[in-house]
Amino acid sequence: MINDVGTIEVQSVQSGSDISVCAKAPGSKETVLTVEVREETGEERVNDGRDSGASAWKVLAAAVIVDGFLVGKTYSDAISDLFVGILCFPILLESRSNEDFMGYYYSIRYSLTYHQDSPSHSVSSNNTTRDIMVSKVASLESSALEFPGSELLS
Amino acid sequence: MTFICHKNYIPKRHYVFMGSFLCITSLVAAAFCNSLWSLALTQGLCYGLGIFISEIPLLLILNTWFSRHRGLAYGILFASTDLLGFTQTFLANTLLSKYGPRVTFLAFAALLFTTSITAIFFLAENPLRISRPTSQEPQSEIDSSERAAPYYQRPIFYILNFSNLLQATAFYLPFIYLPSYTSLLTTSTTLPPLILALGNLSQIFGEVLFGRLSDILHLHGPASAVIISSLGASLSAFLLWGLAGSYLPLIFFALLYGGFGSGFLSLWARMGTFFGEDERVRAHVYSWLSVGRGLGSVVSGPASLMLLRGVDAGKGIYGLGKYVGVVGFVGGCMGGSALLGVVGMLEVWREKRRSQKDASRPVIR
Repeated sequence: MINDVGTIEVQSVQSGSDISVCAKAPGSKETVLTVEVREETGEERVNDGRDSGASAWKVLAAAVIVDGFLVGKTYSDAISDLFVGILCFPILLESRSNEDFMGYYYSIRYSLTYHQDSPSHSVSSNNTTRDIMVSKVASLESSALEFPGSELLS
Repeated sequence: MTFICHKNYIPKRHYVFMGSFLCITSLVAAAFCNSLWSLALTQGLCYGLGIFISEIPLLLILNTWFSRHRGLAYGILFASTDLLGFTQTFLANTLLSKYGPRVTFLAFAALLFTTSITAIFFLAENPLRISRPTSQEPQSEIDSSERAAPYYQRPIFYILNFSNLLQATAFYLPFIYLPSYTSLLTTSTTLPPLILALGNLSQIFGEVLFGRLSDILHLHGPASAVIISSLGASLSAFLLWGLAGSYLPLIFFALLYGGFGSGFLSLWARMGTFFGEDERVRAHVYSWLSVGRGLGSVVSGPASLMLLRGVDAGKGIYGLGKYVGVVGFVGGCMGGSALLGVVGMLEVWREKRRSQKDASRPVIR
């Protein structure tokens, strides 16, 4: 049963003891659908490129690149990040200094997924790149965050 | 996001693009931040929101291409994400020490732009939506009338969710405490991070292997792979971590726990497919499992801190004394998750029996 496929063109039909139909999208050379029907058993085999086709693996590779560079972690970190963001927002409005805020940030952040008990968190995959960046910036706290040109922004 | 995506307002790929663009924008903005609160706003809220927008649509696109091998596909995706995330931390450290935060943020923004944005163009949905004959699509042995019941009315849905919640509550804890635990057993400064790295490495293999295993065991219901994953993690915690008096058992623990424990995440896709052929239902089940994992992660940190408090460490004592509560908590949660897997198997068997009875009952017209 094929639903909502749009327009496809039949490329070839082979019939003998079994019937085989190949189809492609108009203007494309790539076969998108193969249907085989075995005469003896009536068994129908549909190959729509899922699971094993080149297109499927191409999409998986693309998903790996997007997810790998974007997330760099599992989905739970996105949830906790969002949670931290939402939770921190009202706190930082009341916070008067960066030290206060970092105290809040770390207490929440580490109580969620990480903990300062881990001495090697900087090289753990359980620690996101963002954590490292934030902790690095936090270490510059004493120098009042003197980024190059930050005086222009402040 | 699952709900919004299924409304089909815009193609799913556009959500991925919007999410990625937000992440890149937040990185660029972070480069010009001159206060910590603005940094947390860009890196915490905006970046997290970007991932939130892009993640589910990406998985839904993947679902259109993978059916029989969906578990394997998810396993490869999660494992690769972990691997890339792992390498990025080293890159970030190097860039930060050499060039400082601003250049690092901008470099990561450029890296994201060239990789993710380019890859999005290859993220096309499968143009064909085909209902496969049963010989090709893995089906559970539950009768279609049973499968037609809404997922939230089936006990197996709650059993799997509670099992997932327990698993998630415990999963991260060994990776948090393992370095400090190791440092109590050895004076080496390289061993603690090395053991942690081994645990992370085995996670990558565990995710791929359990993803494939879920494809193979799917005909027996989703709970069978749950039992293997959680029981393996529970036993390794109780027997290897708790009894470890030197670093050697800890190496085996890191390898086994990482492999077994991380595999659970790869089972989610198959848990979804158990509830029928409707991709919306499958995505809803996946989303609920995601919520469970998030909740578990939130609970685990404070819970473990309470378990650590006021106990002195000592060699030769189970869990070195200080960590006995954490070891018991991890092993117990994983054991509970496995037990719920057994309950899940029995429930699947009960559903099967009931559907067989219904099928043999004469129809009165």
